[in-house]
Amino acid sequence: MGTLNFSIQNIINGDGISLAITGMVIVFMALSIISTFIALLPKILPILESILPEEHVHHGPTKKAKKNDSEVLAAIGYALVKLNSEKRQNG
Amino acid sequence: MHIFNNFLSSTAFANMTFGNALMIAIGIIFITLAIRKDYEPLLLVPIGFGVVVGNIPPVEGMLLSVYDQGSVLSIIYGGVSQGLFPPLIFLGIGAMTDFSTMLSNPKLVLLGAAAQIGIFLTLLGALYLGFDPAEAGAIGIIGGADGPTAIFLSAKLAPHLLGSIAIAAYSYMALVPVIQPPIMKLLTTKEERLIRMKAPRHVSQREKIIFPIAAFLIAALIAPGAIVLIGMLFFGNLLKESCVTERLANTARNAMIDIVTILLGFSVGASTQAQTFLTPQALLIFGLGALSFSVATAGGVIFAKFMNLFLKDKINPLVGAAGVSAVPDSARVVQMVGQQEDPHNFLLMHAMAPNVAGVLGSAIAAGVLWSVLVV
Repeated sequence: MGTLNFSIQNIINGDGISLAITGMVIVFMALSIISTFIALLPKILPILESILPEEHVHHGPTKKAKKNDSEVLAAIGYALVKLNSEKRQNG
Repeated sequence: MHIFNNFLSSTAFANMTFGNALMIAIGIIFITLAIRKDYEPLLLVPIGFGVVVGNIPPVEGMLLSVYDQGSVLSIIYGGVSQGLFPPLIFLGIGAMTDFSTMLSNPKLVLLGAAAQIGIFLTLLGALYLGFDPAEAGAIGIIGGADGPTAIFLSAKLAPHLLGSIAIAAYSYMALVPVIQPPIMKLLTTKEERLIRMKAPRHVSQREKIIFPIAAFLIAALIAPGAIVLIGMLFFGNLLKESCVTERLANTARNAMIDIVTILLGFSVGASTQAQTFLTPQALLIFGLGALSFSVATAGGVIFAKFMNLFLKDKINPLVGAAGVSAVPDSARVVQMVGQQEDPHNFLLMHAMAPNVAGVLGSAIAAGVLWSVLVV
């Protein structure tokens, strides 16, 4: 930009109107197609059932025990010890 | 005395201009707004401090500023000027965006397209004011209300205006809660603001996985210029939704986006040296930026009212305002304005649909402008 020069002629010279209309049309077209695709997606899914089933079986490594699992194990162990000692006392 | 004079001439005081002092004050105002008012603090603190750093006058013979080839700041700024940072931010945004609301109500996508009118009307305004077409395209993208997109396009089309455009885009994004509500209220009736929308349907994981791949193909084939931004956005989203790359998605949406935001914000701020920033053109860019946000907001609201003429299940026209990207601030504004009329009306989830569609729309618009206007 050199000097400030306010004029409608600038828009005409820069092909502004056709640029703006073309840009808006392309944006609307792209998002309309995406919108249509999203609307059709539930109908497409049954076709893809064999490739991408809803129940996805994950073949990755199994989940490792978390640190706080030891607290659960301790509680189970304590319950078993208590149960066995009660059995011994009764029997 | 002679030694003291020599020392004084080697300090930044000697070259300090009124413009530098003014810019330092603006930087401090940004930081204050971020800390006191909580206006986009993740952006305004790095940008504000960058403005302060960038306006310490350079000392002769020392490579310090963003514009000194080989300086540390110029190397960081390379990520902005070469268009590296914006796509990385899009990757992080993709990894944190949930497209469920959009997938459950696809007609709301059109509101994200309608709001892009702000970009193209501002382009006409910029041409009218005497900017050349490439500069006008870069200024127009401010109306997309998407900082990374604005930076990406202005780095390609008008690098000399990058500082002004980036500061204008981020300033107005921070001011979304101030700019949008009056326009939304002006263009809607009380009855319209009270409309309650149907709850969104459940979206399956399969839909969420297929969507980023299919939507990328559609957008990229129509507007190849948008490949970089849209590609990174949907790649990030696929990392999130695939459920098998959780570590990558976590890095993209946390550590990586934070690092890039710090570097981008700081270096954009540091590029606003008074000598290059305080120009009549910068004032015009700020004026056009305000206009573009207002037009984009109005475009979304008016188009929602237009759609209601044909729909059985009416849309609350306020959600149209979220079509300007500014994720998630404009969706929050919709929720806030809606609840002023009816405290039990929850519009946030509905507003997120045009909000993320607006991100797509502005990236596609940027791709179109880049491919048409690049010299």
